[in-house]
Amino acid sequence: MTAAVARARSPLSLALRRTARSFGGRLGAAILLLVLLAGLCAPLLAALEGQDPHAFNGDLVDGNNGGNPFGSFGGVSGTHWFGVEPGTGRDLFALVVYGIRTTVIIAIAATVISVIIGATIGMAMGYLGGWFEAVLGRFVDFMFGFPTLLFLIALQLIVPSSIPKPVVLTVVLAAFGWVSTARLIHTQTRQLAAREFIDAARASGTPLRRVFVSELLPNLVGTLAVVVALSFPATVAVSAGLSFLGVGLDPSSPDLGVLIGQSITWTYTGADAGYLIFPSIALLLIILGATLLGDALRDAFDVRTESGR
Amino acid sequence: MSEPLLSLEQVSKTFRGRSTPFAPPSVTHAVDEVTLDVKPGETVALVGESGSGKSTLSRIALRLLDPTSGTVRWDGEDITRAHGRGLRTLRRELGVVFQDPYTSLNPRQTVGRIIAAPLRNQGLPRDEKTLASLITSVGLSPEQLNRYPHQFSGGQRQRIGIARALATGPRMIIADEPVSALDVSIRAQILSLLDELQQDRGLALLIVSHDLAVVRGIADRVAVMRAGRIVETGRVEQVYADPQEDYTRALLAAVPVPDPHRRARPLPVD
Repeated sequence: MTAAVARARSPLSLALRRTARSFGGRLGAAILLLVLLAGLCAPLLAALEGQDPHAFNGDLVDGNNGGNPFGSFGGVSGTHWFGVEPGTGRDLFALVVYGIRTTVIIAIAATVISVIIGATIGMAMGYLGGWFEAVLGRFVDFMFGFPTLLFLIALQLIVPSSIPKPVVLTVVLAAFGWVSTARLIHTQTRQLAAREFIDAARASGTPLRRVFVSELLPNLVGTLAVVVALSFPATVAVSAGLSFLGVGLDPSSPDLGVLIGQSITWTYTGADAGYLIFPSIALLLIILGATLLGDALRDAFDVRTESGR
Repeated sequence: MSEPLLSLEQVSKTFRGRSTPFAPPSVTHAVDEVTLDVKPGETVALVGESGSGKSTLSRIALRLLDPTSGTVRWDGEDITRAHGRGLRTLRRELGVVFQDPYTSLNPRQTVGRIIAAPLRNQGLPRDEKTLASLITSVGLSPEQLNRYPHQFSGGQRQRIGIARALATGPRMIIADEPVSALDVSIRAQILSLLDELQQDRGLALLIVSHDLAVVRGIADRVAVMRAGRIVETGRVEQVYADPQEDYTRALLAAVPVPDPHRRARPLPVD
């Protein structure tokens, strides 16, 4: 019993435990883990199936029928688990697992970069205040009202093709994704800065950098975890949306957004729905899993901010 | 008489409201030309109703807030415009205990880390022994160093705040309403702890309170503040026995009397 008393749990670990206990948190984490693992092991899974996402299989599609795959449901078979891509005959299972990989890597990179930018700017605004806050606050407002999607489409068209498309997409997503994080962190930091422990830190001569790192940041970790978990699926959706519109990645690259975008045309022209359904399910699972996990994290951390002062 | 340790000379602080096209900005004189000295080892009480500027004054003394005019001296040295390194001595020699023990401790840090922070800032050793003796001196046990603030009661938290204020071996402590957020039953404990530490270590103590009953037992001198000015100062016995100002009399009359039959009559303030 004394051992239980002596073991002090930090508020962070308490919240993480609450998340791990909640149904939504568990389900979300399980789904996300499953899909991420599929993406991570894409070469392995493709090899297991015995297929390659880049190999064209002209013999599997019916040239007389607009390039539709032979066989039912987009050519699902023991050798091609999700069937093949119409027109090219590329293996759809391999494309989907590689597609998860591309989509997730871009979304994670963009989310991490945008959260770091947003958190830094938000904390600086909230703590430093004054003209710094006023000027940056206007800039954040400006960015918030910016027609991002139009700009993204226009930008993708003028960026030189020598820069790899995934890099362009990541940078562009990060450059516009930080705004909402900055706003949220700004408000939270303002509230924190008004608390007496910040005065206490200043009154004992804590250097500015340490006020940010040791005093403010640990109190924002929960919020940041929620922000990451919830902006990741949003970024996935935007990046898939851009690829869907044809301004994201190259049409030949294995990416969920690209696959879905192309499958629409095929489905319209009467192809089997398999080509549309498999990538869509993968995308849905990523977004669903991350959102469930994000919601569970938010609940777990909100409880603390309400009762624990 | 020894030289004052903390000396505030003609200190003022005005806050400006937002200006509008049709009206000049509203100006609040939170602190208005206040002069106050605290000598080494002396306990001074700063009393007044809420909004009288006493907290603003203590924040100016702590150099958390820049005065609009006037001079702040520490140990004879003008530190009114000092920043960063220039405040190093003040940060070590002047400790502070805040009003609200629920917001004055970082909820994400262990007690040990909270208490060690001032030592870290000063580059002083912060080994287990030092921390253990600090926490013992405020009546808590060394095992509690690994816990988080939410595991403590209000009174215990205030003890942690006092341990933090004592960490760097200060010469003076400013306590801003140290007991007003606490249950009445534990106020006396915290006050006697402060008093005891002050006696043992020969600290100067500036205790800010709206409640005259709180400071009566421990203060040497009292300064009564109203609307940003100090309206009366004097030895504690003298101010209590023979208040010169109506305002002080009204404050004294507002102190509740423990005897229900001997009801005090509230005095009006003009």
